Amino acid sequence: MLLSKTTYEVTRMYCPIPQHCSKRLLLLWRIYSAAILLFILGIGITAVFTADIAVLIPLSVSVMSVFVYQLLYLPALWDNRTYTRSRGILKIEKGVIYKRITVIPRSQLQFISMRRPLAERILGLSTLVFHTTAGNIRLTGLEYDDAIHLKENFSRGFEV
Amino acid sequence: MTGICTETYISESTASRKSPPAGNKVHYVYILLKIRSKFILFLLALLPLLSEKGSLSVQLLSSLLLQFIALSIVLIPAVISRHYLRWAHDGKFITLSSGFISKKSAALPICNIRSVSVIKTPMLSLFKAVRLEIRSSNGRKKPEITLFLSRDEADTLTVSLMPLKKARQTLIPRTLPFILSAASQANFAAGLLILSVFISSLGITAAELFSDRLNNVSRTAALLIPYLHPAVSILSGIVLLGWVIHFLNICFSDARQITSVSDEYIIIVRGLISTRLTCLRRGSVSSLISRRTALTSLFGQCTINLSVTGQDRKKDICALSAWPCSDKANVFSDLCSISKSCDISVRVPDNARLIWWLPYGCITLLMMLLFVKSFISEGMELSVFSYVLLFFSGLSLWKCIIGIIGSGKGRIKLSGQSILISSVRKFSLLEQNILMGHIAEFRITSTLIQKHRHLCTVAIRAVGSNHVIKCRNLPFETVSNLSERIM
Repeated sequence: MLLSKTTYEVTRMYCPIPQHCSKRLLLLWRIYSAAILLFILGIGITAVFTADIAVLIPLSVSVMSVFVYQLLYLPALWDNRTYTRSRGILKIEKGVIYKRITVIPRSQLQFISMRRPLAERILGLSTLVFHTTAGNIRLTGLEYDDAIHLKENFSRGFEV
Repeated sequence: MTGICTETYISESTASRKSPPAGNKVHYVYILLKIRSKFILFLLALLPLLSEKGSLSVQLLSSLLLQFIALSIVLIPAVISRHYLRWAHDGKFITLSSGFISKKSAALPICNIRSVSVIKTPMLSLFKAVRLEIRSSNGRKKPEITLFLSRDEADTLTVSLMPLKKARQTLIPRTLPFILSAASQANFAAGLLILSVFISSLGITAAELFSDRLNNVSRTAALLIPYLHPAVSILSGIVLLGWVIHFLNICFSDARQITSVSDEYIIIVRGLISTRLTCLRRGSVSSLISRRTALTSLFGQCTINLSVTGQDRKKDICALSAWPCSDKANVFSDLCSISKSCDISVRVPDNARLIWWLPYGCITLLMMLLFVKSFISEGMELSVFSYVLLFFSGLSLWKCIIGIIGSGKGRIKLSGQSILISSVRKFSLLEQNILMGHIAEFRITSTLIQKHRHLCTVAIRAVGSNHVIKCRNLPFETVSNLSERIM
């Protein structure tokens, strides 16, 4: 942690090695899926008390699927979500089954905006939106400091 | 530089996270406009006055209480929203941050600003404020930054964002041709209205004449005839209403549009009650399109649309309706310095027209033959299949006619800075000028028949746009030479 600011910025900005988003993004996804799980359980329990016991079968299936999603799919999803910063471009890779690679050249970038919804703010995360001539590309789950630096460094190319 | 450590950097970012919102606030008229959109809540609060329960004083009291609740529901978020909506301008970027719970911030580089619009409405004028819309070329419908500022602030910001030098007024529309053109479009609606009576009377006469011979058909016609007249009348009424709106729009907005051009910017002023001044960077103009419909060409006029990079195709930034066709080249050269001379011109050869109408002609003939065959075999009681055949033969005949009319008009012209593509689409002659620097894709394709005849289709797409401009059946060799020169 005793890196100089220049070295720190250079390693942050021009790092050709793929970097992962924050670990807290995984936590955020888990919170969301846990909320879904609670919702399903709530509906299921109400149904058990008001309707037939046979409701337990689809209920258990859906609970199991959410557990599998939490335990297996989400870590894989996080693991396969990387971004690479190099001179002039930003490459975003995501997807487990269906892979998607997005390359944003700085020359095509119009501006960058940052969004911080409440849940992300609590966890210290932020989302960067890259506005290009072709459309918008989102990069979610960045640490606030990382996002600020990425935004500042990528914006450095804009000259009047 | 080595002295500055990471800790400093972290403390900076932490400080910025907890600091109060920095930057300038927008005008307080923003709150009023926010409240205006939720006006229904205040109307709902009046409901207790309509109820018959309780005395008048109780009703008034409850209504007042509800009004107070509605005001607090609407006013508090608006005030908070205004407090956290801050903008700043540092010479390189214009920054906008907003949101109390969900934070948003955007820094738009000044070099990437495509246009700045200053909008004055009667309500804003009352508070001596204006709405400033700043757009970039990112292809969004909404402006990236919308600010409500006082007039002085807006003037200062506009000048600092787009340093306007001396601009000359080039395109001042003449009111009479505009009104004439708008009035000419009424002919269609009036004609349709007269035609509705004529069609229905013709239908009744035909039904009476052939009632004995065509029993089944006349029965169907007799069922339809009562609905024919009202249907056509409603249609012509809609067209008439559309024309009235169009006419008013032309008289109050388009006819008052003034366009000035400086070395770097195009300034467009339009509107009567609400005025909009748009300051557009000339470099962002990607194409100029002139459209001549069958009706407007009768009056020797056309509509000129100006498209810019990353713009929504449905909403033109500048539309010069009813512009004299003879003056079109001057408009093109004024707005984008498009030269009137032509370096290369490629047009659809005469033998290529056959490709357009021959397939559709064959399909029409085949369908008609099949229909006649089924008509003979089935007699007057036609099956669904026969009606389908009739529909498709009509459709292919329509395509065939369009092909015959349109194929001769297709051509590509290359001048110093732009490519002009002429084509016919639904009886309208389109002339699309794409500026060289804005070409994202130049595609040449040829089908099997086109290959046989050494022809091809050219498709050009401008930067930041999904719209593809096509010109079919051009000679392959000339087009390949053209592509080498362009790309």
